[in-house]
Amino acid sequence: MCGAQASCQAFLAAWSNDGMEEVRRIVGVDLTDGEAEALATYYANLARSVAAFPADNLKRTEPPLRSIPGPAL
Amino acid sequence: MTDVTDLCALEISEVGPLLRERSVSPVELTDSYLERIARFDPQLNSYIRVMADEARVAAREAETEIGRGAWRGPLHGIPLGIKDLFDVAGVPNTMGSKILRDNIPTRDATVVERLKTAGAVILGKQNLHEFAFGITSENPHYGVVRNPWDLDRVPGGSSGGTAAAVAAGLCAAGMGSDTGASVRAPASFCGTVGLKPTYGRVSRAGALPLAWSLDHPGPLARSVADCALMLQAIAGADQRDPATSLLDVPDFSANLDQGVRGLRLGIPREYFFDIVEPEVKRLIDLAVATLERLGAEIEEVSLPHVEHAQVAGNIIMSSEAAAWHDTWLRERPGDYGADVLQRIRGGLLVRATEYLHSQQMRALIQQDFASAFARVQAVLSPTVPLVAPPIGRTQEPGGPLNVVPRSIANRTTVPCNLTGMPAISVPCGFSEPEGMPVGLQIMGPAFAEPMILRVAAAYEAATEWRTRRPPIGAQAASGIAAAPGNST
Repeated sequence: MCGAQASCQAFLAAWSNDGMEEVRRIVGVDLTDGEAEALATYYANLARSVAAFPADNLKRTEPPLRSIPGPAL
Repeated sequence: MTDVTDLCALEISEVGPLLRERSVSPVELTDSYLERIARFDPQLNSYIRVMADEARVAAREAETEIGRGAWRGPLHGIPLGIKDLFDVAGVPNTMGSKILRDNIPTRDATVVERLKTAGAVILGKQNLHEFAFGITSENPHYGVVRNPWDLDRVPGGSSGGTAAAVAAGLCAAGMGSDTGASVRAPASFCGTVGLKPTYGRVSRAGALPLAWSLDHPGPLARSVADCALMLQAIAGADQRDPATSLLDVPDFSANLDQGVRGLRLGIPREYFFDIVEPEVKRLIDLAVATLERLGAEIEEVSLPHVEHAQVAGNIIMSSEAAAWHDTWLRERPGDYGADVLQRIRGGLLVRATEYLHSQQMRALIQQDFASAFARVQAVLSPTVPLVAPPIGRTQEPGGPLNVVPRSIANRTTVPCNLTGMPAISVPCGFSEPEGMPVGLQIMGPAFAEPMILRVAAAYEAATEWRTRRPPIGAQAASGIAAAPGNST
């Protein structure tokens, strides 16, 4: 397991114990239990999917985030 | 006096010359569309706001100009619809939301400005999925948009109103936007042509954002040639959008009759055909066979990272949306529809590292496609893996695959939002037994719109799909008024 995946697994373990409270803290508004649970599940699935990205390939790849000079017209 | 129902059945490339030679008047044409909207839109709900007075004024101006020989080009006097997320000065731009119900811009979006400069007549602002964040156009504030091929089914989204209106002949063509599927999926579901241009080909200025790095304005029309004419009018650098490209804008209509003989077209080995309804797969296979018969060479291409496209796309989309919606999410959560609120709130939970990993994945998928395009000129796939699902049943498992329609509807389109590559959906048949349209997606390298338009035009010319009209349109074309609720 690479560093990123280990970090993600640890995060998810903590999340699964306390996910609904974490959702309430981040979203910052009153949520019903159903809403908080749905969001916690949604996020956990998303995080698991990101953890499945091929870590070695990510390590050698720069994200396409650059300043765009814009059109000089 | 020309038969109004026939006028509205004409494509832009057919009625444009009639306008130019003054055998049809822009006022007559505009009135014909307004009449059809009044008759049929109560069933479709494709417009949030019809701009009848403004349209008639613009049509009279076009008539005067053409009358004195000042013809502006193929869109002069052509009545168009605009998705209600593009600014039209002085007209509310709601983005399909309650929150922006009273948002009145003072300046046109660049695409609207350019369409007006080309002489187009704006018929109105068209309904969409709330905040453009969804693929069904089941809008809780402005009502559900219905599919003209079956009023009990969704038209797709988020540009659902535009696709439904184009298909039903309630505008000659329309402007949509595509962040994950939103031009191509409704085009596929409604049997129209829909083009997502290259990122940077068309300005986003004055288009309310869903996700800045994924948003692409693009046209929907009844033919490939009409899409090319629309793109011609809106493409090009814009000081108001720093992401627009300085590359020259080519003649998008120039290669439409070049055919596909000798072209190499790719079929993805991975992902795109893994989850596809059998009828969609059957029709795509037939479309590929047609292109092969027309002289294209078909070969498999490998896109090993594309299986992660939907996750990466959804993470980037929801994160960027959450950033734009941030204050409203906290202060006005009750003003959102439930599905959109849930999706945008999901973006608040995404960690920065997950957003960046998704951006890295984006780069890897770009590299995959770059390798493929070293061997082929375009890549083919289903536009959407399924036909339009029934209204109200898009969040529960169903259909031949027993999947949740909303969970897979952007599966085959979102890779092109991540890569910025152009992609077009062209009708490729009708499912059996439902008779619902299916779209073939043609993807090309960055700024290769002329190539994907060429392939799409060759396919379109070899088939008869573009001649079919939905029941609601056919009734009109034969001069028979559709009874409310009885047009399927």
